[in-house]
Amino acid sequence: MKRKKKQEGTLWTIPFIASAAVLLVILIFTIFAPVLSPWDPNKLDLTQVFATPSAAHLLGTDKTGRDIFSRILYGGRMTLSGSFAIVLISMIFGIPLGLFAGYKGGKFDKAVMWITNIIVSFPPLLLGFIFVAVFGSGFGKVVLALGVIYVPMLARTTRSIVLTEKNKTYVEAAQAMGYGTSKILFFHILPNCIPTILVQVTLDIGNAILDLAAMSFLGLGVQPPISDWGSMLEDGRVYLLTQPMQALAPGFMIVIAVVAINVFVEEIRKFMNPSERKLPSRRQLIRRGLISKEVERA
Amino acid sequence: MNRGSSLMSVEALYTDVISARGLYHTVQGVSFEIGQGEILGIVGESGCGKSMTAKSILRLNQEDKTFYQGKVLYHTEDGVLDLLKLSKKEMSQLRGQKIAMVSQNPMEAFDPLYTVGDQIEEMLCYHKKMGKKEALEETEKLLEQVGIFPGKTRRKQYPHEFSGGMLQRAAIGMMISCGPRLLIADEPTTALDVTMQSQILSLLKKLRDDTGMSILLITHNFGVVAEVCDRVCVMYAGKIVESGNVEEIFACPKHPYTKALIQSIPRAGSEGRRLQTIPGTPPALNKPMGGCGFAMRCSCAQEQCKNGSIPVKTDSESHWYRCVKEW
Amino acid sequence: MLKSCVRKIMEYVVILFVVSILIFFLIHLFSPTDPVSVIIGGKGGTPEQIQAAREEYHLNEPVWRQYLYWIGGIFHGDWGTSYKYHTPVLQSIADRAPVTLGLVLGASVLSILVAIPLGVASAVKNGKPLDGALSIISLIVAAVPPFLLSMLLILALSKLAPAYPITGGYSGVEGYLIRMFWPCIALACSKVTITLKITRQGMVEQMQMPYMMNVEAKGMPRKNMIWKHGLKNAVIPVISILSIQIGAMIVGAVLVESVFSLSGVGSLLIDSIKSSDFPVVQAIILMLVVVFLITGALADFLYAVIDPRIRAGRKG
Repeated sequence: MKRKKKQEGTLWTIPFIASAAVLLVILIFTIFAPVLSPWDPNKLDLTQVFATPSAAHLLGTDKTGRDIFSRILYGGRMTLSGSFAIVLISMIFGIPLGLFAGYKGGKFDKAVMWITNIIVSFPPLLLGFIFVAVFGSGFGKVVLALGVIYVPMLARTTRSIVLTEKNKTYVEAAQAMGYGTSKILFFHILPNCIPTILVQVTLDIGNAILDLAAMSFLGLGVQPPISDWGSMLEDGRVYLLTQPMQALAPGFMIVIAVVAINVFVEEIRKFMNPSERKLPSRRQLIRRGLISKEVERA
Repeated sequence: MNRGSSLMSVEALYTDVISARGLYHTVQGVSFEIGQGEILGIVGESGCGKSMTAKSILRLNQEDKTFYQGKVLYHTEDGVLDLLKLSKKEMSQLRGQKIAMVSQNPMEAFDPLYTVGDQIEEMLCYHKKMGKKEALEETEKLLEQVGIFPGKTRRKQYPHEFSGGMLQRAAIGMMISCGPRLLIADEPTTALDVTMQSQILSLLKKLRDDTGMSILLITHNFGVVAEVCDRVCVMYAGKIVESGNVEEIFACPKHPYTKALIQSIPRAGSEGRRLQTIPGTPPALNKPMGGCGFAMRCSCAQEQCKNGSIPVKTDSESHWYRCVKEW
Repeated sequence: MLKSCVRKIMEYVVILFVVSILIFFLIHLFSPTDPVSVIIGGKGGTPEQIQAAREEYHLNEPVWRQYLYWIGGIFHGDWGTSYKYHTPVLQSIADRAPVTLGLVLGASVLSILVAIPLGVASAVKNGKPLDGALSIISLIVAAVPPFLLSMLLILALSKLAPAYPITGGYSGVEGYLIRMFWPCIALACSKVTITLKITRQGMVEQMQMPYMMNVEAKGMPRKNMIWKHGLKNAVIPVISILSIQIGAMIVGAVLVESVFSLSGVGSLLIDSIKSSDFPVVQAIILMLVVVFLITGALADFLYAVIDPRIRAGRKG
């Protein structure tokens, strides 16, 4: 997002830079976990049970002597890749659905909206529970379930942008030139929807991290010996009072990742919505010589 | 009430508004006076700073995004108040009680969740310290005064049950409920159909005659000015370009912009002829601007109009205009 | 008015039937687990035992007849028998209802009491330090999953007030309240953010409405603008989000219950899902749908009370 000339306000605020940096660090650490983690995450070491944080074990070890720091990195891979997969699934189905529903209108739109409205009124986790009750538990199944559950939300967002976009002149022009529906949708309307969709999708990644963690925490998601941040929390819960690090470390990772994503999105959203953008203060304007000192108030 | 003595004088008022698209110099050194019982019109196209001038008088803009300079002097029996210097609380005391404002779109002027009566009573109870019952009766009287019958049942209705014209009457009734000395009417007829327009205008005139309050009428329509105003200021690009009595302005308009505006009034007997229009639009007010703001659209613009200083010329004691050329 | 009420109720009945069919058939047709193995405790029983179990739970009959048995039973107050515990489902739900009900209600009230005033304050101080601080805090709170918050609370309580009964049994109303307090806080926190955000957004919108300028031009004090006009107009989206939140609260209760080792309906649901105890799962989900429908109806009623345009049928 480039800063346009003659516009007040900026995207490059401190929270934006900080959150982007945090996200980048988390991504690097999880992607390069095999290189960066000091220990094998599943290697048992019964001589080092419940070790306190040290130079060797940055965050200590768990009940079987596994290095918590290494497990966090590997667990992050599961949590983040799971969340990305969830959002990807929702994009594959949600975006075309929203595009067609918004553009076509009529009965198809009504039917889609009716169904999405019903699904959206249920909390995603409850639908996840039902899905697991029907099809059984497991990481892949939970990711698939949440992905499908996230479809309606994204479809709704996409549809609402399409509704405003489709009345614009460029769409009329494309129609006049005789382009087919899918060409207009994917080559003309979609590019204009992308900024808003990206914002929604990024936000969904944060939600997916939380929902996935909850599923794993309840033992419905990832199955041992593999673990993600949610299941690490559940493992550590038993030793909360004796070895808090085991539960708190993955917990804080979840919080940090989600906060960073939310701040990141919030700053972009603020920038995209000029009425919420940070504007120069009175003092700055006076310094820039745009206004002179005002009347003094009683 | 001695008609003619000054009620309010605005002196070199500047209003700057900051928004995402930059700093807008919406009002650039506007000065005018309103006498007791006078109806002063401010005319101009949209985006000329008329509404901003009106809002600046009552300080109804977002406090942290608006910057005022100059003076808005309000003359009371006990002396002169500069409204821009009052504290928020003092200002709030003045609003509604001494200076009231009727806004453009009556459909959006009322809170949709309360009955029209409720919203008038709210004002009476707060400013006039009336009891509930007294306020009810006063509300009914006010509604009938502005031509809404029967007040007893109409006051119990919600804004969405009123038509636009009736709602504008109710809004006027509400705003005069505390007997203000100045009523600012910001395009009060723009959102209404033509027959409603003249009814509202004659209502305003009648209220002025009955109560002796002054009215500041903001409009883009010279026809409206001709109908009710005593004096008129023509505003363009944040500045007043011509000011005078209505008769003078209509008899011999001086500024090219005024002439163009007057020529664009549809008239009876001119059917079949094309209506005069002014090419172009008013300049955006977010860039610094030298010279005459109208120069780009003016058919007789000279070199000096674009960047030079524009002199103020007087035609008579009450009539002046801002132009390079002598007309 | 009466006509629309009757229509609404009919609609709800239809929805309930559709949901019951969906859930029942989905579970019975797709589940990889054989109910018999759950009923007889997982170990391969004798053929007679299996036969007896099949007879008792009507498992020999086609699925649609099983459905009719189930739905017919519900009309007689028999919600089925648990595969795992061989006890009436309704009884186990009723035993555990007080915990979940208390959690959800307590947390709802707490979150409303905190979120609405803070949301209003945040909107009124739009862009000021208070608004900024509140938005940072709520951003962080929103990112803390309820189970993590519960753990943090337990950890803090164990350090600061070791005598506080965080786990274990309780007796009497007082014991119940003491035991429920912190779980309620944990659950409420996770829901405060969204209510606060919606309140703030609604208020910011309302404060910029043209009628608000008129209220100011009338010389009304700021408290009238905010509380009388602004909040009343802004509260409608808040109600709709709150009615949806009830569902999220129940799910959140599942997580909080499991950390605070409270045995509520939520933990019953999860246990039953894990052990494929279908009668319990079906019953709880159907009950949750009933709760959603009731809160939805309540929200519709509140809209009509607040907005005369909705009463007149002009909107929505």
